[in-house]
Amino acid sequence: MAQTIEAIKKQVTELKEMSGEVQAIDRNVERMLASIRVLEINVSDLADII
Amino acid sequence: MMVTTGTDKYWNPILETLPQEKLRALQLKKFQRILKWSYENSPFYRRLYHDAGLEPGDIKTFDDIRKVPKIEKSMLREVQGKTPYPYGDILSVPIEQVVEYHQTSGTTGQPVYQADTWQDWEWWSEAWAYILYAQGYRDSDRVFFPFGYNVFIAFWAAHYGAEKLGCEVIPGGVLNTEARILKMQEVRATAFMATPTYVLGMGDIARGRLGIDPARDLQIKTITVAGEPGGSIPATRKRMEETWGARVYGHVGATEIGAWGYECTYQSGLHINEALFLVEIEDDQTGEFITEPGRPGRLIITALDRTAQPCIRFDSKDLAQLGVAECECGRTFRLLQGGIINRTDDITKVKGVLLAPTSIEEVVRGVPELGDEYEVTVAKQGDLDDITLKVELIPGQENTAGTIKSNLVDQLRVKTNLGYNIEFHEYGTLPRYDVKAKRFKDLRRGGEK
Repeated sequence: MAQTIEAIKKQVTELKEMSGEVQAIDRNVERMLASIRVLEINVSDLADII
Repeated sequence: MMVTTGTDKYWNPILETLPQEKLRALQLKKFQRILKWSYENSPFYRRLYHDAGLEPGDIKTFDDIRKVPKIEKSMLREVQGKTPYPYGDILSVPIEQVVEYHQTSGTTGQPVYQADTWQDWEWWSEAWAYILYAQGYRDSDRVFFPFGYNVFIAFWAAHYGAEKLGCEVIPGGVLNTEARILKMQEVRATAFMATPTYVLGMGDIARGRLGIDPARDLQIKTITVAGEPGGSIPATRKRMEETWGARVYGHVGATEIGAWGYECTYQSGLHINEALFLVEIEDDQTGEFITEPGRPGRLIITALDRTAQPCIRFDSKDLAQLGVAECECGRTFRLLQGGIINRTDDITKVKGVLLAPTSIEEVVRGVPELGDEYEVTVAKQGDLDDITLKVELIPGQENTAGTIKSNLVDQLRVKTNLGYNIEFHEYGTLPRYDVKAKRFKDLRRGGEK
């Protein structure tokens, strides 16, 4: 799951890079990244501990 | 990897049942990360740690965390009002990234401003998702929010946490109390959230002004309380549960910290959300750190993932003690037995004795002939402290005044080691409160505490 979350984050970040600063994309990407951060808190942060 | 350990008992079955030693490892990793983040991005924290001769790399073990200077509310007040306005240089992100403003209620002085980014706001609602799921909220719930949606954090994040669970959320913001009760009845709300004072006050108004018996005429089955210690006072909880015919669960949090603790459906104490927060317990007299159950201490709390305005080793002024037994729910998050016992700010010396107002509430709310409201006044009579307790007898109980007075004096003497003047007031005449109550008035220095 941690790898999948990382891949999603990479793709979403790429989407922002190719947006040409279109606000309708950039701002929604920011929200997606905030949700991805919560997935990291719930899953990825544990990867090297469990 | 597929998750195979999950059950529908937990919001996150991995984190909530993680063995304590692994939780400690996770907390250390996260503490190191937020410390480094704050050192690199907040001039306030960099200054604090530089003055203490500390760098993030110095924190290598869990015990090293205690080398990190604590912060308290007065320090936050000092830096705010400056650039970047209004948060000051504790802010750790460009101000353009701040999307949420809230502030503390200012009960103990100048309100503290609090900034959150989108990421922090998602974290807030996630913390609430842990709470609500543990208290039995599910997507079939219709949750009513009878609070003023304004600058105070109150139940803002709970609103979004409930949405995250899939609950149907009904904002009861600008409605008055009667309209809120009628709306809860109309939409058949199954749950709501409020301070203990307002839970009881709504019940009183439902019965007295609307002729509605909340336990009989509404469909509330779950109530989450916060903002006051009442949720952890058995007599107050009993009153709330009987009034509404519902289970009442406590939660604890603060604007500066986040929503860090909660009761689960077993009601055996407050679970610390140890996946998102580090809670240390410090002896209030000696400063020694407490790890054993049953010994009260002051809570020092770190929000491990909050970035815009980090909260690292914040002295919450709350007093609590670890529980002896593990909770039957299976969560490995440690329990605070009896919830928050008191706040150091609230404890006052009267006649040379330390008086905690919660002790008075426990006695008053345990007397069924008395109404929900009461007021305590401490004043000087010559050189002596004088305590007056004002109470209301519920209608029809007026002839019990003599017996009740005698019982109150005796019980309060046992509970607090102090003597009281008891005054009976006509039912409905003592002040009513919609949010946090101010029932304790200390007039000894010419003002009210």
